[in-house]
Amino acid sequence: MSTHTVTGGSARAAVAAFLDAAASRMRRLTVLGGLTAGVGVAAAIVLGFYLASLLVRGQHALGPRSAALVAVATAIIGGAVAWIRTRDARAGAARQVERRAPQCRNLLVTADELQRTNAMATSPATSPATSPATSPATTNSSTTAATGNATAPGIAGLVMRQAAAIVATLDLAALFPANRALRNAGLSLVALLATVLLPTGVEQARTVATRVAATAARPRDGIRQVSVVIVPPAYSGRAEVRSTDPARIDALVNSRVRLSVQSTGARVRISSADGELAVRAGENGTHQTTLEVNSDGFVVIETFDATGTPTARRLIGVSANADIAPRVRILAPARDLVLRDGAQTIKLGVEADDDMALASLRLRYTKVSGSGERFTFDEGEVPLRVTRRSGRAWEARADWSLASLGLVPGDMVVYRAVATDRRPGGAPSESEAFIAQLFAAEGDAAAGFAVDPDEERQALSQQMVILKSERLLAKQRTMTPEAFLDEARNLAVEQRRVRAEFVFMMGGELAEAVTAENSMGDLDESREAEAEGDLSDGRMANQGRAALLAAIRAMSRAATALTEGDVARALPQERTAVTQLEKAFARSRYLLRALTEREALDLTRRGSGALTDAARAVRPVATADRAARTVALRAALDELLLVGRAMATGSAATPAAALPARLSMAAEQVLRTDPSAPALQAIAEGLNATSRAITDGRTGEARASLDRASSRLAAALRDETIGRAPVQQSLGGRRMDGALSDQLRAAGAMTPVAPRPRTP
Amino acid sequence: MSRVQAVLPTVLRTGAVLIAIAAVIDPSFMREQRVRPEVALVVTDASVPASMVSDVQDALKKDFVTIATNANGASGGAAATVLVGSSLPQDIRALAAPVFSVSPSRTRAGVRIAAVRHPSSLSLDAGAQIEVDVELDSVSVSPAPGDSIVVMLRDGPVLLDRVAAAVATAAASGTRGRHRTLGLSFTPVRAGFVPLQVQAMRGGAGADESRAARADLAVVVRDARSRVLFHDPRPSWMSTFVRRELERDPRVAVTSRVVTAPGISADAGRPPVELARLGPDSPFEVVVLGAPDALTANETTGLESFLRERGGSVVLLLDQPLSGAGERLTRSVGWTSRVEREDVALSAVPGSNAGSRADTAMLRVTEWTAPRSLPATATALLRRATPADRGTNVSAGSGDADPIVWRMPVGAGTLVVSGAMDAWRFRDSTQSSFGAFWRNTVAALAESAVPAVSVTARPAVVRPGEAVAVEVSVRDRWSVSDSSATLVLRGTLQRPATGSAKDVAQGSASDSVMGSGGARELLTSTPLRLWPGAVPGIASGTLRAPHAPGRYVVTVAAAGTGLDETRTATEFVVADSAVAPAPSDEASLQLWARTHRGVALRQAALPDLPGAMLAATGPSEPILPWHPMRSSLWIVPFAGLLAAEWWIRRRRGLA
Repeated sequence: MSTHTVTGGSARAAVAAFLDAAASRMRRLTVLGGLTAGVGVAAAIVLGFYLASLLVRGQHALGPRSAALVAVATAIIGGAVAWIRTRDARAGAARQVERRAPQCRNLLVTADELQRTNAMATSPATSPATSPATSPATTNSSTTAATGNATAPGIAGLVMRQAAAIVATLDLAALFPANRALRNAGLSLVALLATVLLPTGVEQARTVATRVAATAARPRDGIRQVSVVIVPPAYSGRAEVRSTDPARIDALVNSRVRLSVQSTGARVRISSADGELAVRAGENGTHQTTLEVNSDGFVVIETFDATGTPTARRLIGVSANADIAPRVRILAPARDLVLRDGAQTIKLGVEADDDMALASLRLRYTKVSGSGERFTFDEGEVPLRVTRRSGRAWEARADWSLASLGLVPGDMVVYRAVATDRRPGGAPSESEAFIAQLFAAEGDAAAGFAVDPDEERQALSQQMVILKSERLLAKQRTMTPEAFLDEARNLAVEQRRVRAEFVFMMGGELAEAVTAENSMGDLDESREAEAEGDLSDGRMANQGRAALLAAIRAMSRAATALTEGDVARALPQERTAVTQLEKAFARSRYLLRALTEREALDLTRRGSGALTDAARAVRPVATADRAARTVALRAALDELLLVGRAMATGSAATPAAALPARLSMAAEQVLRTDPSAPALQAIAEGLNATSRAITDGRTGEARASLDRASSRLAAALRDETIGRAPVQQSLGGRRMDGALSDQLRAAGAMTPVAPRPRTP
Repeated sequence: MSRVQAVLPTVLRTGAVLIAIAAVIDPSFMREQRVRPEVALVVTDASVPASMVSDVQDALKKDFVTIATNANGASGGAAATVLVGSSLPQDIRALAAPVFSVSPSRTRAGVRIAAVRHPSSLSLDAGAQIEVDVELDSVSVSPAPGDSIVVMLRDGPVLLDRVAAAVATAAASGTRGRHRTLGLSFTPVRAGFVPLQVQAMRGGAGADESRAARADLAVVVRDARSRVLFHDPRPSWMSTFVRRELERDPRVAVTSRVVTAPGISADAGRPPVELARLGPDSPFEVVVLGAPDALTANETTGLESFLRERGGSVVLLLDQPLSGAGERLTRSVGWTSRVEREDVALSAVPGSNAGSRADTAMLRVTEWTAPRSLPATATALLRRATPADRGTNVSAGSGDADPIVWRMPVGAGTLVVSGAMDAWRFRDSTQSSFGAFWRNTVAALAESAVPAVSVTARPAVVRPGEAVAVEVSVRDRWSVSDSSATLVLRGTLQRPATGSAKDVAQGSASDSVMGSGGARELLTSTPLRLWPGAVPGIASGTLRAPHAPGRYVVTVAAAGTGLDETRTATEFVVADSAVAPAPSDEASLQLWARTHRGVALRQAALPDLPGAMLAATGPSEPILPWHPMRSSLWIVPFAGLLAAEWWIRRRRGLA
């Protein structure tokens, strides 16, 4: 302990300052204690409300905002009460210090009293500090004397000096520690926070507990996990795909799917759209099966307990993705050719691609030679220079010299590209076939080779042939004779194609009549004569067939003229063909035409007989059945309505535990309707998601998912419905309309029809 | 003891006795007193939230005594009426003046369902369009970008259809910007009475389905096939192919007769012996005629009777220009017939319900015939497609150009005439909607045919105690033409479930016990009073919905001269939560309030309501008798005096 030499005035000031500081610290701590108590009371109130909400129906727990208001109020009250209690803190400060520091031996109390009674005179006491060993009894008696009689300034000065010396050694923070008060304040805040968050926490804990319980309960008798391994066919070169608990299996056709189901159920049944699958039971509740994917469908996994009662059900959709056939095109010359000599070289360009990998690309040709009924066909292959841009896209080129084929005038070569992919047993894809024909002055291409399904070709019309002929004539002066002849012969090819379209469009019915005109000249008189009977009988009165025949023959003449390079002679024939076609198709009902002799009726196959034997034929009333798809979708939506009501209100007939299985079965019903329909696949997945959400106790999510699935199902059903119900009119309204109509008609009121627009 | 102390007990006792005597005498004085007048509080529509009603009551409780009534309640004895809502109540004449109104500043959903239009019945194999008129709150006329209205159709809790539409800005939509009509689709899954609910709300962030505006409705789904008769006086391709399409339609049962030679025909089912005998009793709803040019005069008469008295529909499928007796049915003056070089498309006339899109080729023809002028009440269904059809704007006036398929009312029936003579040639679905058009047209005609007896109950979903309007229509020959015939209608209200008589509407209920599948159910029926209307064969009545929620059946039996008793029934649902569409009629509401010495206020101006009502109801301090001794507070001094007297005596040792 250090020794201080202080004057009486400074000692008094030091003691007073110390006691002021002590009083101030006491006040702060007391107020902090009051606030702490207030917060604690608030926590108790919040807790009380929560407990009451548990016990009393209709009583609500306090929310965070209300709890905060309560805490602020109680804290203010507590703080105010504490503040009031510290009004005389300064007076009691000396005693509090003495209580916490016994070494003061009442010196501080005495000094404080001396100061407050102002008994001590301004004594210039400079005596040395009194020994701390002064007895308390002596001090007390001195204090009493000083208090009662202010005539002992020396004693007072001594007391002050000794008190000042002692307070100099005291630490207020040690005397009045704040740690405890702060800790209490923190605890009370934590308690308040805990009580405020308690309801939310309990609710969440319940939810978690429910989920945990549901999750824990689910595997007990249900499906714990479904592992899927998709093994694509070997030729595809694709790797295996593994997944766990998939909503859908997407596999290439001919893939093998290994399913592994982990379940603690006594029995597991796995079935597909084709029936039940063989299941192998393994260790740890694992059940395995293998499925070959050939078409869209589904897999249903069901588990059963020891009594055979179904415990869980899961539906997984299966999409079988087909291996698309290769596409192959001839890029050059990509049109039919008329050759001037048989030693010409054709530059060929071919391209092919496939969704996986190409296996081969070839160019095959068929040489057709001969005439009349003696045609010979020789097949061969043209070597190609193949460039593989990737495994899926190839290009090929070739300079094909026709000299080796030994073509003579009139012969032709039909060629096409052929590509295959690696699919075992897959049919090769062929490109469009083109013709190269060696020109013969009197020859004509066989009609049958020109028919082609290509859209561009079908777009070619007789009007277009006329247009091209007119353009060729217009630019004849600017062309060399050879070029003009080439163009004319190409046009002849197109004219023959158009002609062939009409021949074959009628299913070849006119082929005989058409091919009879071998010379490309006029009509075959004998055939015409044979049909004369039909004409005289009026069976060709509508002239449809005759007009069509005339059109085709006009086309033949035009083609002949074009082959000879006489475009001017061909043009009238082309126009004649158009006129005849218009007669055949626009005015006359060709489909109702009378039959020619070659289509003569077989009377033995007709219900002919005596008129007197004719009787009324009666058959039952025709009633159509509803489409199976409509019925199935309707039943599925009806099931959803039942499930939705059971979810909303509960139903004894539909217990909540049965809802997931019912939804799964509804999903299966939807998927069975059309496993390949994307809309139905989405509905089935939505129903499965609803089923899982119900199982997991996610009620809100289950309702939202059911809403999506039901509205989609209703939309799918809407697409199946036939019509829309009209808005009914009352009997009175209908009669009024009828009466008004009668009156207006009687008065001659009519609504004139607007002028017709001109037909373009 | 002082003298005062001595007399104090006597004074105290005397005071108590005086109080008792004054109480017995009960003196009365006349003075001005302030009283709280009674006012009627009428909630005009179901969309008003309870909190708003509570706010109004709180605002008035200081100065008035509020008596809440429903929209049908009279307020005759009240000092004033306060209407809470956006529309006028049903019986406005019973409202006590002055009338004040408080309209909500904004509904909870931000929108209001003003009206719902839908067919009351439909076939199980058809769909229905439900049109919902939605009205935005006035504060929502200037929406934010991306703001939308969402309407939903639910069968119980299950969502069937959901449509969202952007809210047009006020600038774009003009004064009608607050009103939108959205279409919902309903596809039935089972036959019977199907209650549905339409919900509407503002979409976007913060949309809360639980706050959506609601409206209940119900439709009757029928699983009965309509009967259609095809009759060809001579074989006709057109009729043949239309018949084949109808034979694939599960909504109809097709009976047919094709006359192939005099006295020889190919029949399906049992067609009538001759068309001339078609009349009001015909079982067929629709008659489709092929080759109508071959009709005889007698057959035309029979068809006209079928149209006018049976209320059926006749479809004439022309395959050559109409002439002879058949032309009498159409009574059109002059026809235009034409053969096209190429086939032309026929498109639906907008608004004719013949098709959804005007630019879709319903039919294709190369030969057609059409009247030069249509009868005044006729409507074109299909016309030649014009270049304008390929755009989206088709003027309404162009709808009558070349009406190749058209319809017109004849009596209570409908006549449809098709001049698409060779449309059968283009019946492939890639070329036209030949099959769909004729199936839908004939099925719709069959659906709209008038039944022998029909009954409707509106609204079909009501709250307990609300009024239900019942209308009965009877189609028969004597209801139209035979004035001497009698018609007896008996209507009853039943609850088709086990229950007690207390649950059923009050009235002269008669109980009956009826077996059903071996079980005995207590059915309680209430006679229904029906009144003949202005139109022959139509009667109507009104009943109050029973207080017990549930499904109720209105059964009507009709019998009369030459008419066997025919029964028919309809249903309605009583539910506590039933909500009807509530169109906002604030303009009428405000007008009514202002013309009845009141004011119309918004909810936000609620604090102004008591002052306005006090000003309108006049001085509320009448001179009334005052009975001062009738206050129960007198018991305090009375008991106090006696207690003090007893205490003093006890202290003195006297007690």
